[in-house]
Amino acid sequence: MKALVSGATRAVLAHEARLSLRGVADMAGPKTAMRPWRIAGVLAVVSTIIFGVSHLLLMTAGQLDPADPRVQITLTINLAFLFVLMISAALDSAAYALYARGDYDLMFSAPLPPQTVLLVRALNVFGFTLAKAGLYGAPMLILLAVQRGAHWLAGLPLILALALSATAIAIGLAMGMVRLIGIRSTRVAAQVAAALAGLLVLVMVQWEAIFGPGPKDALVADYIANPQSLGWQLATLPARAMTGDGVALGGVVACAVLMAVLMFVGLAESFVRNAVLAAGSAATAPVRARRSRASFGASPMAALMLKERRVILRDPWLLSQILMQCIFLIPVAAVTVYRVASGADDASALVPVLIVLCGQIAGGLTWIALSADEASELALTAPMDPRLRARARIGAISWLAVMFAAPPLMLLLVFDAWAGLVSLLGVACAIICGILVNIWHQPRLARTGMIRRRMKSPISVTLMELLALMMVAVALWPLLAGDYLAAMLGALLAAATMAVLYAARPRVPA
Amino acid sequence: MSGHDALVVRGLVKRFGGFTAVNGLDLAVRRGELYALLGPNGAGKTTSLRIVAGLLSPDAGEISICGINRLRDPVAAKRVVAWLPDEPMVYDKLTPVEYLDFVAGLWQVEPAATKRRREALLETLDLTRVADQRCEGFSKGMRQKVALAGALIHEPELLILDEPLTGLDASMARHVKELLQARVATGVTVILTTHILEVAERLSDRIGIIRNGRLVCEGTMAELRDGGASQGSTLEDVFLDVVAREEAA
Repeated sequence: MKALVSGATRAVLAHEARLSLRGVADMAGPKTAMRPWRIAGVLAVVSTIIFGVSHLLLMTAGQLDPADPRVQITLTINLAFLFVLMISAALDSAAYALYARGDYDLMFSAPLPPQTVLLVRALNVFGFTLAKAGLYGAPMLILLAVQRGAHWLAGLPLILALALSATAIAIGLAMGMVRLIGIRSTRVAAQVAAALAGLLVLVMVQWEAIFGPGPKDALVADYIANPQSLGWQLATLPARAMTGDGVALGGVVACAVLMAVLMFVGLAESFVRNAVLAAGSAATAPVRARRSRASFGASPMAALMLKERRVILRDPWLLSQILMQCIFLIPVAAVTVYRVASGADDASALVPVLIVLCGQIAGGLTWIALSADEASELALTAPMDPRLRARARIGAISWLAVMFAAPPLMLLLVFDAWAGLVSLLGVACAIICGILVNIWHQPRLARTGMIRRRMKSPISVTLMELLALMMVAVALWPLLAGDYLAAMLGALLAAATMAVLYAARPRVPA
Repeated sequence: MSGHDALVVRGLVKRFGGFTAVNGLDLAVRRGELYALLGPNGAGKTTSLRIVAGLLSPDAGEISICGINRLRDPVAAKRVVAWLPDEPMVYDKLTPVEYLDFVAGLWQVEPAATKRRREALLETLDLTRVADQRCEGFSKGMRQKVALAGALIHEPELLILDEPLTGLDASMARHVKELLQARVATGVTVILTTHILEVAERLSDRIGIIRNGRLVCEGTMAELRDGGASQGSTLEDVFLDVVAREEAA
């Protein structure tokens, strides 16, 4: 029996690992599931970019002396941000991995104890959290070790320990949320919480750029005055661990292991109870809808647009996804207001950022609309020009992107009319380009329900979208300085990029 | 191509990489006929019908739907076709009424006709009770009925159904069969695939058996029995015999 159970456990672990790898392959782009070299290629490109950015950041980072209190405080703040992001990412993964996979009939009918299922799912969450943090953090630590000393390698086990702690906290939070608000709402709430955590970190990162170094100086002064206080000793533990303090590293690792053990021992029973609830959560009470006066009959395009809007507005989960796409415009708007109003910055500096961000939001919304379409084949069998289908999607989605882009655009128009007008043109072009790139390249990838399994658009499409948007920004930027020739050349470059992306699209039937 | 034919397919080929799913399919279905397309799993039935419905592009071949060239004028061809896959195409967040209005909008049915047909279909398919409930809580059978109503609301000349009785209870399955026969009686052409051979035997005017992407046997039930395809007396015997002979060849 023991051999059977351990064999089953190994089978579940292998199954989870296979599914995870296929998820990564899907992220890399189409038809890569069985081609590891393509996945490796995408990872190599991404790693090179991250190494390059890390190198640039290090060039401006100064000496980073571990004994310098300012370095300790900077590291403490950044590690706190990293930990919040890790918890938010782990919370999202946990809500999905624990209760949204829909395979509990299979898991609980297999000859293995339910605790094993929790262990395997927890390892899955830990793996994703570690991979995300490691992808961004490891290149920086490796460069630090090469350029500034091997003691920075202590950051690698530190990331491991932080990922383990974040996993334990996130699983505990996910189970608590299930208890409080139920299975169906937990994933939406976890995603909203994750987005808000990301937003908070984004705002906090901008804090020094907006308000200057004052708040950080106050923290440094307090730390210099009381370095041995219990509060500062605990708060700077991860920072000291990262700079090579073996005792501090041991303390962080021990805390992480303790939290993981407590989570596993304390929550196994609750996990099984919730999983039984999750298995029956698909059944819903009937929801009646009021008959609307809005007509589907005006034209096929109007019918599609009305359907898109109605489906989006009635689906809290989909709505939360869309709001999360748009929420990142809020700090940009806040920075726009503050810096331009206080005269600290030229309004034109924010134009390219606004253009790229709005295009990405429109692209993200298109991905959501395409991959959340439960009956995408219906429109394909309808007697309408494929171009009308694309226009209907643009019409249904762009109003949301425009709604979120409007406040910063209006502010720019008030403070700097020319920068505002150029932004307006750039944002319009970016929204159209973002939507078109996704329409051209997503249809074969955006399988029905895919978005409900994982929220991210394939990396290949994201990179194409980013390229197109950067070209739009390149075209619009010289206009601000009145360099019309450069703007025309940029516009030609942007048009050529879009033409290449159009020509490279997968063919779908008319 | 005959003026009486609702669907004519000539030399249809579809490849997915190195795999040929449809391999030179020739098929003619007459107007007002109920045609059952049978075949083992992976024979190319669904792929062929998805090409006819406009969901896939063929690598070679010609398709004529009610005299309209499907490849040259896809929009006109789609206007007279309805496609009902085995997984019902409905939206969880729409009600049956909204879904039918949406489909009617896509096919540009007049509002007055939409309302009249919608109420009739809801009544016929026993959906009136749930007409204003969102589809998210519906069983597969209920969703299948909503999708079938959607396929019928624009009154297509050619109705293509992939496993239409999957998920329906016995009484509703009989009801749907009667509904299809009534449509055929008014001149509508129905092509269906099914693994329930008894349904094909009782319901269809003609039966085609497809294997490895080619039509290997076709005719009325009597022709299949008498034409030397098999010495057996049921469609199941004929089907298994044809498939076994093709495998041996």
